[in-house]
Amino acid sequence: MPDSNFSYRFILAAFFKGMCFVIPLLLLSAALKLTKPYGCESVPCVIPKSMNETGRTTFYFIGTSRVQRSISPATLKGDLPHYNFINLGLSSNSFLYGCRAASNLMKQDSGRKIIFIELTGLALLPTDSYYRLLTLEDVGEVVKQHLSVRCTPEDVRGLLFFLFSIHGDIKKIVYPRLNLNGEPAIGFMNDARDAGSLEAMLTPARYTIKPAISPDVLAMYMNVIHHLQQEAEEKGNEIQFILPLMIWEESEFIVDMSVFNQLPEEMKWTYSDEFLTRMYTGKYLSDQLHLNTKGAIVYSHELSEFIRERILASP
Amino acid sequence: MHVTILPVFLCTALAICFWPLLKNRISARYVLLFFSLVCFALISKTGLAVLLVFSVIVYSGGRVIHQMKRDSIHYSIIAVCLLPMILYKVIGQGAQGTVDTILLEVVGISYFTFNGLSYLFDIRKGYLIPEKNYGHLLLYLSFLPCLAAGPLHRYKYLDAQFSNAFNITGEDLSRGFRLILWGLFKNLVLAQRLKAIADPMLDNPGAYQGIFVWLGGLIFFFQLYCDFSAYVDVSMGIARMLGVQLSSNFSNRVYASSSRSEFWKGWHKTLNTWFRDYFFFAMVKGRGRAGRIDLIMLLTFILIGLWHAISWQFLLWGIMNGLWILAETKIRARLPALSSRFWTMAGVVYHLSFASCMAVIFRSGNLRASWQALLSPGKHQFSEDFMLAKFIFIIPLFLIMDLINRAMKDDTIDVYLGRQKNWHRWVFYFLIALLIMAFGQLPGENHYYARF
Repeated sequence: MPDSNFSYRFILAAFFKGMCFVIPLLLLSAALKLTKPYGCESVPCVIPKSMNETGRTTFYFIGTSRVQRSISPATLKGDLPHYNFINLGLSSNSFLYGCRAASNLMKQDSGRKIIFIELTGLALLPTDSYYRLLTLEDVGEVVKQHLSVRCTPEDVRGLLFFLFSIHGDIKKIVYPRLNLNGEPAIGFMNDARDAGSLEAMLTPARYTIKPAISPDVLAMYMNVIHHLQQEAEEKGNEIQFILPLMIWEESEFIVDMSVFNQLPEEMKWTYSDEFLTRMYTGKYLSDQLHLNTKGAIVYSHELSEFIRERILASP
Repeated sequence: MHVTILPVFLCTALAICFWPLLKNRISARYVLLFFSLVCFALISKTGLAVLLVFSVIVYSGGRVIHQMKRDSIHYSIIAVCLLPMILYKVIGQGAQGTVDTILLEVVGISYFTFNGLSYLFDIRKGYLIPEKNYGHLLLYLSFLPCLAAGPLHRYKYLDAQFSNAFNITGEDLSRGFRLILWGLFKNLVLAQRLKAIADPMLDNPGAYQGIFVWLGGLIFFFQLYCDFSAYVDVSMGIARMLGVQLSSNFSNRVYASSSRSEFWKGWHKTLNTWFRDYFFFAMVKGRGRAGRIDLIMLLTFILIGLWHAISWQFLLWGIMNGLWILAETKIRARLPALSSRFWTMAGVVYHLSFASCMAVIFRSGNLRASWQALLSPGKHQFSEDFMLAKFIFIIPLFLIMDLINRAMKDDTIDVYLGRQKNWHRWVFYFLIALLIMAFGQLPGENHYYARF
């Protein structure tokens, strides 16, 4: 049948009508994204100075929900009472955003900092709660960095979703300030559950695997780490990297182990076979990917030993 | 397997944009065919190769069946056509989670296999003469909006639709947009949030037992409806924008069915009518005894189960569905007609109670562990605060969908909204869009049924 209606005028009219719908929504999303969290002058949206008033060195732990539930500041404080410990684990965080958060932290003049960063895979988009540690400009920089080495259809889809999604921005208005006392999105989380399976746990055998990743991706990781290290040295701070004890995705395992194996010993916490064997038990896990409270205590004691022997003992 | 809907949107947009340039030079079908194949290639290159070989077999097989009306030839060709799908299901299941699965990804294999078989069966029955134009048949097998989630159609129906492709008005674009928006709401807002609740309850049989496994099954049942029907809505919407009208695959409130029979009349309708027309009726013909009919009914459900996956799990699921339907039919024949509101509600409770258990079997990664967990005393690991935080959003959002489904009655969302005033429609569009923006979550994987 002849389709006399179908011309470019018709398409343009339809496109214009569509834009009348899409543009107000985009503007709303942009306005919410550009809104700063209430009462937050800088990121991290917390005042580390209050933690450093006594002039003590502060240890920060940045990573995902695995860091949230593995590293107990109270346990560390008990073992090393003359230092401060702050868990900045952020649910659904990823490596580039973690490094950016570390960089933001080091820009603040609030005493000596030793920052532990969890090695994780790459993710284009930040977590909803990114505003606690990062600004929108930080997100833009990380997105550019990510897309320079990798751009998949899933990344494009994710970016489109992020442009329209206001879920995190609403949270920014409702929960603006960082509260490190047990909020589910950030900070140490006690988890009393006892139901984990061991499939994702690192074992001594798995720990020795030396996988290979794309040279571009590895180069980007090492470049970011190198810049962070330089930033740290300029202000008398220190950067350390930790491997998650539980890694479910094979793709993440490959990336984490490749980067971990490239790092010099003085920049990472290497687990002993004895420690990995000791941790390999369901009673320390709340689920496949997270330690429970008991597991966090054991892990944190081991971490305090590492800090005492390696970091505090070195000149 | 991960299919992104973006190539489908992109190819649809390109087809619409290029059509005014091409309409005086080339038939609409060839434009649709070109962009369908481009879309297929973007999603799955292996799949495109399999599709092309399959389409040649169906094209030549149709001509052979029409000329040589012998059962042996007919069944041989059917067997050859079924082979790729069966091999895919057997090998694909074995290679789950390995690099090889990337090479084995054949998007839409069930879609084009069932459509191809439907074409051959209709030729055999004399409902159809073989298509002379190979391109027309290839378009029927590869139509881009239907790749990931169907629905299935008879050749005659879709062919008639394709002859009218691109003959669209502003109303077609609006109707397509309404379907897509509604599908996005159901998937990004409801299905993803329901998934986040159901997954831990069903993946940890050590942590969640008894009634909490049943609850996980119930939530998964709702998740599956929202997920699958969303993809069908988006497919229908995209097709509508191309001037092609697809059949609806789900009744609006199929999740509130008061019996299993009612459920199967409204769930995945095009697949069920396919099995009914090409297997059940073909087997029942001439075998009028009630016992045989019941056996064939059971076999039909077993085949539907095995289509999902060739495994003991889905064999059991198929058998249980078949037995349930048969038991319902026998019991209903002995009961008086119960049509009051009370009995309808009781029926919904009855159906959901058992459907949740069936959902546990359907979804389970370890059937023995799941079944043991289901039959154990109740145990859970989540905190009440955590559950409150999850349900506090999902319940009102689900109720919004249900209210709209009730208002729609038997219409699809595009027809229902078309009857409303203009400003009512725009308020609806913006409200749904805001809900998607505020509560939507990005899917981490394909819609559940894409794996089949």
